[in-house]
Amino acid sequence: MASAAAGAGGYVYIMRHSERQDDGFCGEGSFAHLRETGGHNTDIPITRRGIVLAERAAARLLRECSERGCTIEVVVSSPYLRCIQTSLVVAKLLGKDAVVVDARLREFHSPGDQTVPEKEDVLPRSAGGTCEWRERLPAAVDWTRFDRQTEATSSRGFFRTVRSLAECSGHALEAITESCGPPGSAALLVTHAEILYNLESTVHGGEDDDALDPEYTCISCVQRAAGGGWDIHFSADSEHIDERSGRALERAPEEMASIADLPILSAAGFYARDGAGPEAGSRCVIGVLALQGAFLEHLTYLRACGAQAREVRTAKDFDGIDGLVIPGGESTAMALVAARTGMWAHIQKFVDSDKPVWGTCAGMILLATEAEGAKAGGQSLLKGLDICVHRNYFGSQVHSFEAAVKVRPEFQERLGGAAELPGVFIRAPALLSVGDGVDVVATVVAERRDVHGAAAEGAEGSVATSEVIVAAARGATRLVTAFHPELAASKVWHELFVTMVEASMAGAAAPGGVTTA
Amino acid sequence: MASASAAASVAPAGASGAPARGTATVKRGQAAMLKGGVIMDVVTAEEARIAEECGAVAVMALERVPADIRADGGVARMSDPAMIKEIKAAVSIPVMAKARIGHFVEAQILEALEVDFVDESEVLSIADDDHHIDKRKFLVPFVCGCRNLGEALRRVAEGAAMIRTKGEAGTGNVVEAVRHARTVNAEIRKLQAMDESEVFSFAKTIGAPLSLVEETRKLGRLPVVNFAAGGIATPADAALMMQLGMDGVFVGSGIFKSGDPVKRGKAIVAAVSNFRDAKKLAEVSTGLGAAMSGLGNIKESQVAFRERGV
Repeated sequence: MASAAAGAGGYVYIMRHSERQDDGFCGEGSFAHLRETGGHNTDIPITRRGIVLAERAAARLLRECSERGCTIEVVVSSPYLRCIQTSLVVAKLLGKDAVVVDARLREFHSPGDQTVPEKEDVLPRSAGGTCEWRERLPAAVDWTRFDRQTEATSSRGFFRTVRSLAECSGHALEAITESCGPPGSAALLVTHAEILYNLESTVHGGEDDDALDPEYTCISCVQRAAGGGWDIHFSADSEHIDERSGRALERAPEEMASIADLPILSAAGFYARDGAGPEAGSRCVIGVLALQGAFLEHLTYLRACGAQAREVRTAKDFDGIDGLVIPGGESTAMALVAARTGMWAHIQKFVDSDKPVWGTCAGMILLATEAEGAKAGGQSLLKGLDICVHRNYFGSQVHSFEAAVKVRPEFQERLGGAAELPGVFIRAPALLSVGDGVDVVATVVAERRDVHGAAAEGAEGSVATSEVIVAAARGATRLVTAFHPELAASKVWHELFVTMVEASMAGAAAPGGVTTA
Repeated sequence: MASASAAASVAPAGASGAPARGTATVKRGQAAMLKGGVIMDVVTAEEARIAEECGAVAVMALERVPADIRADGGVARMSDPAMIKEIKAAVSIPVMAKARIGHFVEAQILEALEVDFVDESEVLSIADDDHHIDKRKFLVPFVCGCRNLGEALRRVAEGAAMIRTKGEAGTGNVVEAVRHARTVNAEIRKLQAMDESEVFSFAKTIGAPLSLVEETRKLGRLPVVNFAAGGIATPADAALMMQLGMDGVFVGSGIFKSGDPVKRGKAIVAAVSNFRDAKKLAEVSTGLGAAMSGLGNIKESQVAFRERGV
């Protein structure tokens, strides 16, 4: 099958992206929990180890090119973040400063199951290099071109490849064909496993599905043959990878440190839209109160937004943090534990310092100036924002719900441009009223249920009335949400808070600066 | 665009404006809010208020604590609704209640009473030898006990939003809870180390759905929140279970069967919040009065809650 002679056209190297952060083996695991929260639809970045893999793949490509006497002239990538990141690492080592993004290289494996990145998602991803958006919309697949008869009468290997490619991603072939330059040239296409898989099964002997699953950064090489068909030169598993243990990939710590500094490792620059999200590699430090509740989820999301995030358990954990998140949990338990461990005074001090604080659910109750429906004997409050809240406004857990929250128009731009965002309300509180200088950010339509009234009357169920209820509000340096953005598959609220913290830092640094995040 | 499609994929019902209740996100989310907390067994509204003051994240309303069920014998059933209502009215934190394994009508009644979580519990008598409750059909989330990974994932498949170790309730002896926590951890580690092609056979061996086994392998932990239960009696017991990787702790008989429930309750809550801080643990373990006397040799006991409902 392989032809040593130069064919009629240039070479096309097709490579799988590098290791994803939600891979169970990667050890970083910062995206692993997204599967639990339904966030597997998210466009996942590559791991730190993935950068090493991509560097090794680049070295291998250079070797292959020198053996074939060709030069890689263009690097084309699928619009998915993992592919762009991989191709940026490789392109840099190949001496290229730009990557072309071609939507036809994206995977089609399960169309309804993915958030497909669009142009406006891709362009800000150029933090570590330059991306160019190839403005060619995928054409519809012409299935008749790939029927059995065509396969039988044509170059068998090629058309099996064509057919397989067409079946899972018909457009990729167009991109491959277009990338094929004159003899002596070469192109690199960074794409997904399904496309490689079909090349693999062809090379490894056809129809049986036992062909190896393509590993991260494995490479196939095809070339336009003199007769108009294609030659497949090699299809290489990435032999340098010991995927399970990563043993072959160990590097000196100082080398790892320099890798960590690469701008592309920060997901922030990639996810952010123009002016909407935090700066790439934001250096602000955000603490998450970790006395009880869902604090891990907040840490993961904040890190994915490019902020440094850490647990706040003791007084000394407040040193050096620029913002604080008070997570969801049980507000009563959190306040009592904080009071008994002496943490309450430190939290109060931080809240009084006017640095940014975000309270979700229980955290919102604690930040309020007034709370109704609290435990007998009252609930301790931090009084950090002039709002009145009602605990368990929507009743007991059977009435907890998911519903879209409607974002007020003036805040939509800062929340990813969305008019509606997912809201997860769990025994949620409601904002009954907001004071001067506090803006309503989002509302939800839901039913009020009074759990105590129902229990006291002994009636079956409780009386419900639908109404528009304030679900999120903000002051100059305060954000409160009655729902749980950390349980939904959207990070826009975390991005908003990171932006608030950065603005507050900038305001504090500027002489006489005013924080107007 | 990314956000809008994310919204559509997470809360499809939300798009049309109608709130979606009883979704997996909402049920598992309630469990996530309890993480790092202590759930206490209470038999009266007064005890529930004490538990809330101690800093419990939830209370389990029941007629008799496991130690008494163990001693009294007879059939143990769901509690009287009047008692559950009274406890619900007394506190602002979530109220849980126990239904017999397989007794889906007790669960329906508890849901109608609007308890916040149902414990399908081996501590009560078994109502169905072969089947657990189909928990997917309920709006109320369920917590179930397990001794190993297979049991845990079968319960998750049936719709449990939260898992706990079975331990051996009412003994004040932590040995079984430790065994069950370690077994689950060891099985997950084994699962992660094995070759991909061996996962099918492993799933068959432990009797759990392949999809959940694969999910567990990817996550490196159970797909739902996992609490410790069954025999925890001291702050040190609670911190031990937390250091073994549990997300929180149930304390049944251990608090209100001890000499000074208020002091012990507060101490166990503090121990769970500071489970790695040995100095703090020493401080809160000091002068708690008598712990429940408990049961030293569990194997000789006639009652083995942990073997009910596998």
